[in-house]
Amino acid sequence: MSVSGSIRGFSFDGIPYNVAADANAALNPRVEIEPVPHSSGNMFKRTTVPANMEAIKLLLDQAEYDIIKAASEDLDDKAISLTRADGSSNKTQGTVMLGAYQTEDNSCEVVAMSSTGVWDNFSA
Amino acid sequence: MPLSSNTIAAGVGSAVKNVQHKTSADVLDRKQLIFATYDPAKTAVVANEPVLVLNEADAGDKFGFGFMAHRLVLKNALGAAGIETWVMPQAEAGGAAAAAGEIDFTGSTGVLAGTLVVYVAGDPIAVAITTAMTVEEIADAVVAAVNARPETPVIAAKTAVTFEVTFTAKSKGTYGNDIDLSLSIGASDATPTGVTAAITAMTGGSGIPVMADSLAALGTGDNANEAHFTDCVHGYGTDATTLDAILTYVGAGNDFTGLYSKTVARPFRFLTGDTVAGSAGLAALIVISDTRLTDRSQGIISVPGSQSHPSEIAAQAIGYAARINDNLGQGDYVNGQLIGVQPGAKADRWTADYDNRDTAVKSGISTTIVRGGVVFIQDIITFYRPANVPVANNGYRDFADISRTQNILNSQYVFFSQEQHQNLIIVADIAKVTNPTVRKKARDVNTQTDFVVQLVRSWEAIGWIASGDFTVNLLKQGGYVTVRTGGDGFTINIPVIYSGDGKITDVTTQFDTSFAALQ
Repeated sequence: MSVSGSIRGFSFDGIPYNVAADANAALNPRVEIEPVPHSSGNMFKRTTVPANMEAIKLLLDQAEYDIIKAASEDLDDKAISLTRADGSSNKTQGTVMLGAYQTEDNSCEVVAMSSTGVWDNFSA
Repeated sequence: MPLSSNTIAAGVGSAVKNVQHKTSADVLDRKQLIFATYDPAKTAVVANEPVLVLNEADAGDKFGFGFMAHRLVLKNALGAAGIETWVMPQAEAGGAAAAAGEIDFTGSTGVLAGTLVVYVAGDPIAVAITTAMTVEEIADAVVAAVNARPETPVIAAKTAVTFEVTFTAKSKGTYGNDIDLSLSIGASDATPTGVTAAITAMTGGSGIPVMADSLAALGTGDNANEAHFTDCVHGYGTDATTLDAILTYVGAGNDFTGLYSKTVARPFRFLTGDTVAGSAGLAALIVISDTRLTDRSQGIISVPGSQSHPSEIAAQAIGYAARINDNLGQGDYVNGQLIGVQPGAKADRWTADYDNRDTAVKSGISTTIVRGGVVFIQDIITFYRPANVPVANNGYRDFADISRTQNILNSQYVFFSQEQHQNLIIVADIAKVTNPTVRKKARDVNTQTDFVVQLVRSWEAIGWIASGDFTVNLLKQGGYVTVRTGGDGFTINIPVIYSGDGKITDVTTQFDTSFAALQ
């Protein structure tokens, strides 16, 4: 059984950021399927959605926050990599959307958005 | 002068700084360079110093109307249509001679009014013929019409006594020998009644500038092609010395030499032309190509039997290729129209036969086809085809693949030249680096691989490569991104498969008339 647990690393534009130990990033599938019942059964409504990696909780000091904020506001795609508990990593290109910066614990939840919709998985 | 930290005088500093914000692949801007001789009377021209030309009129002003440089720019512009174009002015070779030919109208009698169309290098010049014109009057009319066209590559004159019309190439050198003289070759042309003519082809032109000197003027060593030209043409046909000089400068084979050196990475491509008619023309081209199997720098395009100048055909074709690749780094050129290029006689067109074209392409010869009297590009390829490289694996054969290579070389150079990839701090595990400032510059194999994946996906997104997955899957296996032994950088090998060119469609419709299968 593969190893699961805390995210070991997150980098955006080649710069690593600290990830909260309790972070549980959620990788959304590319397609959401919703059954639409009809008289003869179900039709499946298949909706393509962004393949986002959500709820990545970063712990950032102000300097780091400024760096990632500037990078996220840049219009160009950046390299994104998330390293899992087992050492494997998911890599893509895109940008991140920052949530509110929480001064209580210097945390910021980000959504990593892939421009290609492809998260390449690199084994450990 | 910079405002340093210890200056104290009042002042306001204002500056701009040009930086590169490149994180995705951009198509390389094409930049053409036309190697050609010019009017020696243009004393302001400095030989072997590239000059930007804005249009063909600008080229005429600078280098002389009707001279080689102007002619090649003129024809190139028909294909390039606005692509940045420079001329490498080359002084005519010492002792060079101008080619000459003539048209003799002796015997013309009982002439009726009409229009005589004289073709010089395939360009039509209409001459008004009136009823009862004498031989001398016809000659005068032809001379006047030809010389009234400054872009014409010859000067016409009438001889005394016998009144032949002589044509002398404005540019000295072998270029003039390929200036065709013809009459009434257009489909709607009709030589006026009573006009007869005997044509003596242009000949006697000699002298070719030293191409190696002009190439050296573009820069040598790591500074070679410093201005980053991408597409080139010259007016010296299949002159072996010229072709050899280009091959040497660009670099032969599949090695990191010449413009393909790792510290240069700015290869350009050359195209030359040919119009030799019939199967003998194809055979002659194959002989030339067979001696250049490792030449990835240049190719030759044929319009067999055409009355247009072969170098001018090449100039237009390379212009078209440049224009296509300015928009699509991987675009090919099939069915690109060669505007105004004469198709020549049907009997001369070995290109009309698919098997011949296939043979030609397999032999390193670029091809054209004629449809409705209009010449279209088919394949533009280099001579490159070493015996140990299978056809399917030959990445230097197609000019479109050369363009892919040019784009990828430029893309990875620009990408890794960005500020964020300079002055790196290389560590074994970036996760162990906690200082935020250091993290901006810290790199390990994993983070460097992130950038390679990003780069590859950008190539995939723009269609330069067939599959990003292929490359990424190999990267996953490891070993393609490694730290240099001295810890002074990374060695990165990126395996890619170029996207294909959809030039062949093989469709068969299987039909039947029986309804049995429908029952």
